[in-house]
Amino acid sequence: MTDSASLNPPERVRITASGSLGDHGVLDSGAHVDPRSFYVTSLIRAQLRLALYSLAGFLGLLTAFVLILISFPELDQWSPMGISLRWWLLGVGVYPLIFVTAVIYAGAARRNKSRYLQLIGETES
Amino acid sequence: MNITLNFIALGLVLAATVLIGSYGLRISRTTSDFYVASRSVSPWLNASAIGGEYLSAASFLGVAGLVFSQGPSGFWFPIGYTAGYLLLLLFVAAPLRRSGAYTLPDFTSRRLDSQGVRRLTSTLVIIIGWLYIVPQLQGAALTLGVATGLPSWAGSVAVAVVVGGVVAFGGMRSITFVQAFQYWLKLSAVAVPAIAIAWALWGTPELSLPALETSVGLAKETVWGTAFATTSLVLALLLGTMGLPHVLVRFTTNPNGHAARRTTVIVLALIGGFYLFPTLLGFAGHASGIEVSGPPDSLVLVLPAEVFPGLVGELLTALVLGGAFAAFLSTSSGLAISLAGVISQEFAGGSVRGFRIAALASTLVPLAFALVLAPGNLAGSVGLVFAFTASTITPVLLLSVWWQGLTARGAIWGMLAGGSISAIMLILPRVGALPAGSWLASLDQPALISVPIAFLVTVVVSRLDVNGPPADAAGELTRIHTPDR
Repeated sequence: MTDSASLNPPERVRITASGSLGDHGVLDSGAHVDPRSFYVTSLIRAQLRLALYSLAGFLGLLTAFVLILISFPELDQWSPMGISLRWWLLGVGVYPLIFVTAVIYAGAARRNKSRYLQLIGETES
Repeated sequence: MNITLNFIALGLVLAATVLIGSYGLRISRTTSDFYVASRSVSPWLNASAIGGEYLSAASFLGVAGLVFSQGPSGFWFPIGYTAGYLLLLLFVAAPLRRSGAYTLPDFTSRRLDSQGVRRLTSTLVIIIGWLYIVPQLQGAALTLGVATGLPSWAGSVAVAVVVGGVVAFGGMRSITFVQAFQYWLKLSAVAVPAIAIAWALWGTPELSLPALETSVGLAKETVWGTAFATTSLVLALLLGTMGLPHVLVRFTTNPNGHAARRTTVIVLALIGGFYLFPTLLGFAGHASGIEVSGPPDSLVLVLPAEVFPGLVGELLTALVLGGAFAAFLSTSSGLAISLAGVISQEFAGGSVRGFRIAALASTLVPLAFALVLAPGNLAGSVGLVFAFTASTITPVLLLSVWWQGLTARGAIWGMLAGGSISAIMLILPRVGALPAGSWLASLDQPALISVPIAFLVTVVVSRLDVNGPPADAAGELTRIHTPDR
C-alpha cells in the first residue's frame, strides 16, 4: 500500500469503491465510516446551516423594517422625493435586500462546495 | 380606448408567441426535449424564461391594483413573491437540479421509494396547477373586456386555446424561448407606461398621498388580527413558491446544480426589478386620486389613457395590453407544461403523444372553472393557491431534501393534514359558512396554522413509522447534495 502510493501519483490510490478503511486508520472516531460519506454529511449540514442563517438574516432585517415603521410613526414624515419612508422601505428597499442576501448566499454555498471537493481530493491522496 | 390598436397589440403578442413557439418545434424531437429542453439552457436565457413564467396576471395587474386600492399593505404580495424565490434558492434549487427529476412526483416518489407518495403528489400538483391557471384566465377575461368590449369569456378561451396549442406542439424547448421573450415584453410593457406616467405626474400640485394608509399589514379589526393575517400571508408566499409545479420543473433545465443557483440569483434581480414598476403604477394611481370604474385590477389598463389623452395614451394602453396578455400566456403555458408532464407520466406512460393530449386536458379543465367561477382580486386568488401549496407540497419537499428520517407514510399524512386544514380555512370564511365578524371568520389566511401542522404531522408520523425511512435514504441525500461537475 505505502509502496504503491510512493511509486504512483497520489490520486491513483482510490478508496471510494471498497469502503473498507480500517487499514488507513484516518478517522479515530469513526473507523467504520466511509470518509466520503462523513464529508457529505458535513457538507449537507454546512449548506443547511448557511441557508438557515441567510433566511434568518433576511427575515430579521424585514421584521426590523416593519418594527421601525410601526414604532416610529414620526419617521414617516420624512419623505424624500415626496414619497414617505413607508413606501420607500416596503415598496423599493426590500428588493435590494433580497438580492444581496441571494448573492451572499450563493457565494458562500460555492465556497462550501469547493471546500468539500478539496477535502475529497485529500482523502484520495 | 382605440380598439383597433388594442387588437393589433394582442395580435402581435399572439403571433410572436406562435412564431417563437414553432421555431422551437423544429428543434424539439426527443422526449427529453419535450420535458426539459435537453437540460442545456444557459442561466440568462433560463432566468428570463423563469421570470417570464413566474410574473403572472397577479403580478402584472394584481400588484398595481392592490397598491392602488390598499396602499402599502399591498406591498406584501410582491415582497412575498420575490422572497419566495429567495427561499427556493436557499433550500431547494441546487439539490433539486441534481436530483435529475423531471417533475415533482418524480422527485418525491424516487426519494421516498413509494407509489402512494407519487399518486398523492401528482394529485396535489394537478389541483394546484388547475387552481393557479384559473386566475390567469380570469385576468385575460377582465383585460379583453376592458380593452375591446368583447364578452369576457372570449379572453379566457383565447388564452386557453393558444396555451394548449403551443404546449402540445412545441414542448419545453419552444416554451423556454417564448417565455424568455415574454419576460422582456412584460418588463417593457409595464416599465414604459410607469415611467411616462410618473414623469407626467411629477410635481403636479394635486398629487398627494391620502392619509388613509395607517397600516402596513392586511387590514383587520384588531392589531393582532392584522399581524396574524399579514404574517400568515407572507409565510404562504415565502413557502408557496418553491412548491409550485411550474417553478420546480424549470430547474431541471439547468445544466448542473451550480448553474441552478446562478440562474436563481439572476431571476431574483429580474423579478425584483420588475415589481418596482407595478408598484410605481399603483402609487401613481393612489396619489393621483383617479377613479377606476371597473375592479382595481384594471388600474394598469386604464391609467395610461387617463393621464395621456389622445394618441400617446392609446399607444401606451395597447402596449400594456400586450404585456398583460403575455403575462397570462406565459404563466398558463408554464403551468400547462408541468401539468401535462405529470398527467402524461401518470396516465399515458410519458410518451410524446400522451404529453400532447395531457397539454390540452390541462388547459380545458381550468377554462371550465374560469368560465363558471366569479373572479376575485387576482393577487388575492393567487395568494390562496400559495397558501395551499405551502401547506402540502412544501413541507414534504423541504424535509425530503434535508431530513434523512422522512418516511413515505409521514409524507402522505403531512400532505393530507396540511392540505385539509388549509382547504377548510380557505374555503369556510369565503363561502360565508362562519358568522361574520367572529374571530374564526377572520382566520382566512391559513398558512401560519396549517404549515406548522403539516411539518409537525410529517415529522411525528415519520418518527413513529415502524417501516422506517427508505433503505437508500442516505444514498439519495448524498446524490442530491454532492456537487456535480
